[in-house]
Amino acid sequence: MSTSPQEHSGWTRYAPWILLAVILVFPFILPSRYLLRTMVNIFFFAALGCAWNIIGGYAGQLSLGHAAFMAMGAYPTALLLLGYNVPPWLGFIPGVVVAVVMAFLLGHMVFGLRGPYLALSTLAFGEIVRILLLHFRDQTGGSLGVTIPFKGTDAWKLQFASEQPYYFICLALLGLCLYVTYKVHGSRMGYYLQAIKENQDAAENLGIDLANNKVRALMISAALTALLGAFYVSYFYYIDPDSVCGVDLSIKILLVAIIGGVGTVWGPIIGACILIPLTEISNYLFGSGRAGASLIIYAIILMLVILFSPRGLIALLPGGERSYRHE
Amino acid sequence: MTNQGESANGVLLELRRVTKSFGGLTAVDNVSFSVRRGEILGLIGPNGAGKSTIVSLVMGVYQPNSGDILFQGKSLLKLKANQVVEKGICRTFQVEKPLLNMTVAGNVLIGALLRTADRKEAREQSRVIIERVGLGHVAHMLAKNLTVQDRKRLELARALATRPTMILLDEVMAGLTPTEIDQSLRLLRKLREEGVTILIIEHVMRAIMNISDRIVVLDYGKKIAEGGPGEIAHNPAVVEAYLGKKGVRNE
Amino acid sequence: MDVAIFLQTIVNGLMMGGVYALIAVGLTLIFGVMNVVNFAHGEFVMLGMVLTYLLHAFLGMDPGVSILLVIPVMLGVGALVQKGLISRVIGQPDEAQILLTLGLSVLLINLALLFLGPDYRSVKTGYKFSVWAAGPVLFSVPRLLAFVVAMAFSGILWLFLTRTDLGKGLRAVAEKPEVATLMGINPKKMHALAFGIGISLAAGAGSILSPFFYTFPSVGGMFVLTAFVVVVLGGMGNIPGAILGALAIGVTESLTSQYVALDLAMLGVFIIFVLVLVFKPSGILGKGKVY
Repeated sequence: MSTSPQEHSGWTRYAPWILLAVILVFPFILPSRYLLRTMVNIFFFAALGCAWNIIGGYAGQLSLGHAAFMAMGAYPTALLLLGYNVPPWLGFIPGVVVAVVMAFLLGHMVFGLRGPYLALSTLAFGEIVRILLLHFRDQTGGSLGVTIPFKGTDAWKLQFASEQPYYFICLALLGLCLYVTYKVHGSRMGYYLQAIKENQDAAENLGIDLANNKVRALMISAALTALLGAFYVSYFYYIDPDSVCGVDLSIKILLVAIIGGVGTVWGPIIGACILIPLTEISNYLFGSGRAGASLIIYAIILMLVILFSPRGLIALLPGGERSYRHE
Repeated sequence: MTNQGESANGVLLELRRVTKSFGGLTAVDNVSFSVRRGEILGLIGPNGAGKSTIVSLVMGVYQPNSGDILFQGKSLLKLKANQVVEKGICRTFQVEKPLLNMTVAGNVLIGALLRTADRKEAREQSRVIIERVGLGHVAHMLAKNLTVQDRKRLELARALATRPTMILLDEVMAGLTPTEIDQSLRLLRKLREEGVTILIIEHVMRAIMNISDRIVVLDYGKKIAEGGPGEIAHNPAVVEAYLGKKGVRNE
Repeated sequence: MDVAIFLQTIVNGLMMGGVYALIAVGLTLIFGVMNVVNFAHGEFVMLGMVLTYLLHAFLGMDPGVSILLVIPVMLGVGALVQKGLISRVIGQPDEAQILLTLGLSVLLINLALLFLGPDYRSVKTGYKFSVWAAGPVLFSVPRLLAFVVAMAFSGILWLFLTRTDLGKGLRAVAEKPEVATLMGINPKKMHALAFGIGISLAAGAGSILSPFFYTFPSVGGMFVLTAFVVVVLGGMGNIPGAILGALAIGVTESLTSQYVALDLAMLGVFIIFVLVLVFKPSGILGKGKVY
């Protein structure tokens, strides 16, 4: 199955650029608050999916506790903002550092384990973080969470009354995640991660250092996820252990990548483009009080994808097979 | 190929009184032998004699209970498999382990990336190796669609891509036709000419008698004979070890 | 240190451990026979609780009686789920079964949420608050009953596996699948049976839990992680290991909540889990394969 760039015919060559142009002018042509919110959600979860994809999709190490890294980015940002007026674009730094260090430690502890045990450990990890966040309520606010007050637009603190600035910030973050993924995909580490995912024994016997590669992938993933956690604080103004560290969130994150296409650059975007609108539709049909309904849809889609197109829906698109690297 | 740290008499790999037990079973019992630079050493013995265990011990999959394994004068103990490969020893697997969802080219490329991070260079090296090994016609086929013979060739190609000083071949001839065996032997001889040292485990007697400079014979984990093919063929202990057991394929 | 409190803590831990044992035994059986890690196991506990609740609310049935209904029904449900769903991912890479059972878990939780709402419900039995004193130690009657029933069913399972032909067939498929097939045992039937038994025991655990544990859609989550810890501790596929491990975990949890902090009880369990995985992954009693 050879891949050749010449296979792009005239208009498909330009399609991505047209799409980008549309996305960039969209907030000015159609400034519906609701639509913009939805787009921000799509960008946000696409970015989270990209970040997860680096360790879950490329390396094939299923992290079921990834929300913990988001919490590690969110809490320091929120607390520094609230307590010391540190703006989020500075406050994210300690959060990312914590996440990267934790990723390093966790990775070295658990990456020797086989699939289900690895998944379980990451699940336990996520829950441990959540329980600790709940427990130290003097520092974190416990189950009451942390609320960031909004006193009007303050660009310094990244607080805006309108949606447009958030739209572009989130789009930029998505761009960053895509760029990092693209770099990983094309780098030696990307090849190595794929080899590890395909057959660990073979990979090791080609000189690939399993632990180091996996840990580095996790550290990159954790850093991006924590960064997005900081954005979460400045966009949603409220965090608590369940909303930023819960299993539901971890599942939603991995779902985006799995549905779209694991181990591809564009997969998570497709996943988010399907998942978020579906959530909106289900909220509309069943009322957002029935939050369970959208999760039912997630679950069914997940199971269908696993049963019928385990590498993600991108494989079903024309030309989608090219997104996976076969070399 | 690299040249550092060899012993004076050209010994590349040395096993010194290596013993490995699993629970109550002693798989390798006080085995010592060495492989000299540029030679082809055959390792034979009935099934269960400990041959594959020795490969695993060299590669760091297991650690010996006692004894030492030296490569270019330095101990390989405590190294992990990928570190051993990096030092210059590569193995093929008896049960092939191709990266199924990647092409032949992709598989070999991953091996080449060990020595160069530049993908263009790695791709070029892979191309050369793929042609050499005879996989040029399936270079862009997904590994999962290969025939068994081509899979074996892929194992070898991948190993070669890591530019090893020494290769451990684990039963690469099984299931090949006589013509294919001859092709493989020609390839191995060419490799030896280029300076690659080879340790080859085989059941196919014709192949191993033909290609080995020296042969080491194992039985029940112990070394029972060592010498040239001619000596080994007439060694009574060797004959008895084989005749007294099942699982010998003679061609 | 007050000896009476200490004894009480141990006893409470053992009581709960018995229930964990029933849940874990099913999980380890499924793994042993099918090599499937059932992430949805906790939800079958929840289904057992829900069924028991409904039978109690609409028919006034006591949990001790409804368990006799719940277990056979869930046996059938389990077999169907296995045939329809799980069987499709056997032999595929691990990720497939992890994600499939994870999806099943989310589906079941949210179906329960949809049909029953998020409210906590309780099964009010006459003996709910009864207490039986033995020396300085107080036994809560429903918990004691739960312990007894759980141990009884675990014992029945053990007898089934060791004394009956069907049980031996299961063990054959678990230990040497190729040989079992040669002997005429149908592995697919055994898989369905193992899964059915596994989750029906989990549902049964739900039944006996209902008199003293709230019933709500995500209650399964509390049990599944504990069950996994137990199974890893005892060795995947190792049934006596699961029983002993469950008792040990029950006691650990109890001691942690009593002497460290109430809300950190699960934390103690998780930390043990991570420690076991990192240092002795084959389980305290060995024989599990984790690498």
